[in-house]
Amino acid sequence: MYEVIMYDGGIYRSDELFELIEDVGGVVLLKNRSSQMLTVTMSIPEEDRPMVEAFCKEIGGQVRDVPLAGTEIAVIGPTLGRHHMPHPICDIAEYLRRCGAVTVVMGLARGRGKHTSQISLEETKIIDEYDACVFMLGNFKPCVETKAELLLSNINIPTVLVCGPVPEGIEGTCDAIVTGVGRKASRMREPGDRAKLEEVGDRVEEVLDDKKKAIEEDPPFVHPSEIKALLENFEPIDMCLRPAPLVMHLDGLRAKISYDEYHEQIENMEVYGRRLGDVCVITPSKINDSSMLIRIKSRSQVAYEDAEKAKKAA
Amino acid sequence: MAQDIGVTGTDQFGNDAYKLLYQEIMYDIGKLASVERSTIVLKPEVPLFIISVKMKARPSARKIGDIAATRAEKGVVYVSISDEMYAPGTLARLWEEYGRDNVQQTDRLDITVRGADTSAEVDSLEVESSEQPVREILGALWRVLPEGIRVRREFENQGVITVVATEEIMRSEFLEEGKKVEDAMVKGVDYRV
Repeated sequence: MYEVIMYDGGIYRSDELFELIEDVGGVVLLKNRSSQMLTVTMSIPEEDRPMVEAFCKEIGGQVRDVPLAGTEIAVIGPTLGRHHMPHPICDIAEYLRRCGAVTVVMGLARGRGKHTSQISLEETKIIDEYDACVFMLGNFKPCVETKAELLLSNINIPTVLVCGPVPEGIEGTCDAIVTGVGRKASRMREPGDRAKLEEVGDRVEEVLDDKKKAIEEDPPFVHPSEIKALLENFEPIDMCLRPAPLVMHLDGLRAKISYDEYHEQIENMEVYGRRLGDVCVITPSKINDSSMLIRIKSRSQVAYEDAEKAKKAA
Repeated sequence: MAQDIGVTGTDQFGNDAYKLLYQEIMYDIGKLASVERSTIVLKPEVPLFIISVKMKARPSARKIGDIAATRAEKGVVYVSISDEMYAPGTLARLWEEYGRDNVQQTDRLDITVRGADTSAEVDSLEVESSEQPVREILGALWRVLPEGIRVRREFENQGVITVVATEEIMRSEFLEEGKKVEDAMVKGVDYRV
């Protein structure tokens, strides 16, 4: 069994840490360097954890459990304006980041207002690219109820609604609700606020656990971390200067390089003796051409397609 | 934050949250202390939002003499700013009046001015018009109101500033309610939905 942990410390002797991860058969999921500080999210065998932990402490770092590692979560507000965006949304995004998720903060183009609020099909499709989303609404019950119905009902990924009052009659629109966090003009620093952030983290973990269980019933043909390990040596990814050029999802990954330029090369790579293009669905991201989505087919889907090919050949 | 803030509306959670939001935003711009009384009416189901603010005193223009100590010595006027909030405005006003070559900022709050005849002349320069505080308060009220509530009317009467806001069409009954809130504020009585 593999465990996901995060090293948080300096870059001193970090090359030895990477060697150790490789030696025990682990994988680096995410590496973020900021000046002399480094955070490394890694997946390592359960039995080697004490040794890796001891080494991290020896080089002056800390080790934390990261329940949301290997996921990409969108934190969404009705707009990017200062009425909606700052404080709770940024604090939630930062809290989820500390839990190991890669988070993206976004606002809708025309999400403001009660009667005039809307979400476009394109926005819905962009949101659907993520593993889960946290949708932040406001302080008024009638507004939350109207907008939850309007904005959330077409989203197809697990959704956690965060709002102020307790809404009624919107059970089918989201997977979990956290109440008591409305629009605020200050940071979430008080003990009550911190408890709310933890509650948001717990709800996100729960909805992702449900998704993981659903995926485990018919698991992907290969684990996303294996494709990540394969793509890390691909030169355009290696040369990519964007933070986290490869982001893992529960059933695939996002590669932050141009689809038009590189998708054929990626499709022709080999994994377990098969073309990557045969075991994955590679599509351009709806955001723009600068990233692509690699969704791994399930084992049954690959077996079915193999059977179909064999039938045709016969 | 000991001023009188009356919040009335149809949604209790929203009432409490907006009272806090109003206090924090007014405190941020440094105007909470200059407000005597406020009434906030919140009807999200309409939607109709009214905020009315009564100032402690009618704002007047601020001159350099009000916010700094000045003394003239050998053809140079020394300005020592006592209220830091006006430091950038003071420097800009002195540059405008005497030119950049004649105005030196020796320290964060100390400025020397060449070319001024007397310190009284420097004292009389205006750094903030009487309209500026009202403009800042209106800006803060716009920040308090929800972003989508964009159709807004403002009126001022006897030191009471009132903003009526709705989402689509400003109906006459909304303006009438705004006037009622304003009247209650002028008379100093409570307004309840």
